[in-house]
Amino acid sequence: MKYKIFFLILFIIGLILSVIYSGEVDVIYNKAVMICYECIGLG
Amino acid sequence: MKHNHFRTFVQFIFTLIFNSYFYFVNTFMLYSGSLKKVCCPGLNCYSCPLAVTSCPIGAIQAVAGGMPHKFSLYMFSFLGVIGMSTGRAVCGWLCPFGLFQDLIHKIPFWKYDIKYKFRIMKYTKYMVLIIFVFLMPAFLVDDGGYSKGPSFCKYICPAGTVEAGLPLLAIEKSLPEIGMLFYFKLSILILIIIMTLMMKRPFCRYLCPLGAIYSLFNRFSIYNIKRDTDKCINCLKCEKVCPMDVKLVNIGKDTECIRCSDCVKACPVSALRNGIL
Repeated sequence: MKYKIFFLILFIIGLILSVIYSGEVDVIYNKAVMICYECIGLG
Repeated sequence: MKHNHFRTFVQFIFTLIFNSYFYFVNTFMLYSGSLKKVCCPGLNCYSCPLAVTSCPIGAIQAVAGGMPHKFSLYMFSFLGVIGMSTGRAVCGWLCPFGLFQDLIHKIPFWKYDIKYKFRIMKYTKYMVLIIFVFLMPAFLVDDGGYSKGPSFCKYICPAGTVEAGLPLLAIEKSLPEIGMLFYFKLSILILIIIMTLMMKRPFCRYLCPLGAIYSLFNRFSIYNIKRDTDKCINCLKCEKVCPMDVKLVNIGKDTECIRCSDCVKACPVSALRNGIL
């Protein structure tokens, strides 16, 4: 059962590192704050 | 079968939390605060006028189409943390579109007994995930080399139609003209609603790419349904109430289990329980 905790900790570390270094958060934020007309079939 | 009112209550609360930007009616602008940097664990369109969080499937496609490395490490880790913790419990307890399907299914209509039929169709959602969420947004580009956009949201997502498309059509005056694409997506939504009237959770079973991701963690998640084989009398009442047609022998390891706990409630000898590790 220890492997479950191990992988959970790995994912948590990955999440923290990706938030800090990947730059993806801003890309997602910029997409999410505008109405995406093509996403909802109106574009 | 006695209905699990507590689960419906939890689904309502989380749907309300993820869609609580009622200030939209004053501004007609989407919420743009810091919470939009965080994703809702369930399928909840970020173009929904009330949404305060992002959609994880939309986020994966945004990175696939907008960043050189194509594969979202942020979403991989985010969904990994949730998947390793609870498996598909998000589908059963938190997902707004799951609640939508549960409510639609309550409407009196001819119910089709799908028990264990078309099981092979469950693999469709993995195809949807790979083709529409990963490959098409990453590699389908226009003449300028830019991504043609989020293909799952654009061509399939019924949550986007019901949470964003239809409400925006009803309240926004300055929308682009409705084209064939919208009618195509509306047809998909109507088809899913008709299927939902007849059977439980058809979108979760066959099409949901988010469910496909979480299902990969189902066997390994920390929170799981546990079966005590010494207590179990093989009455199969758990199989009868299961909305996802999980078999008794597969409880706790089936990729389709949404951890709704209906089986736990139905067990007459308490052989099933919600367990950690």
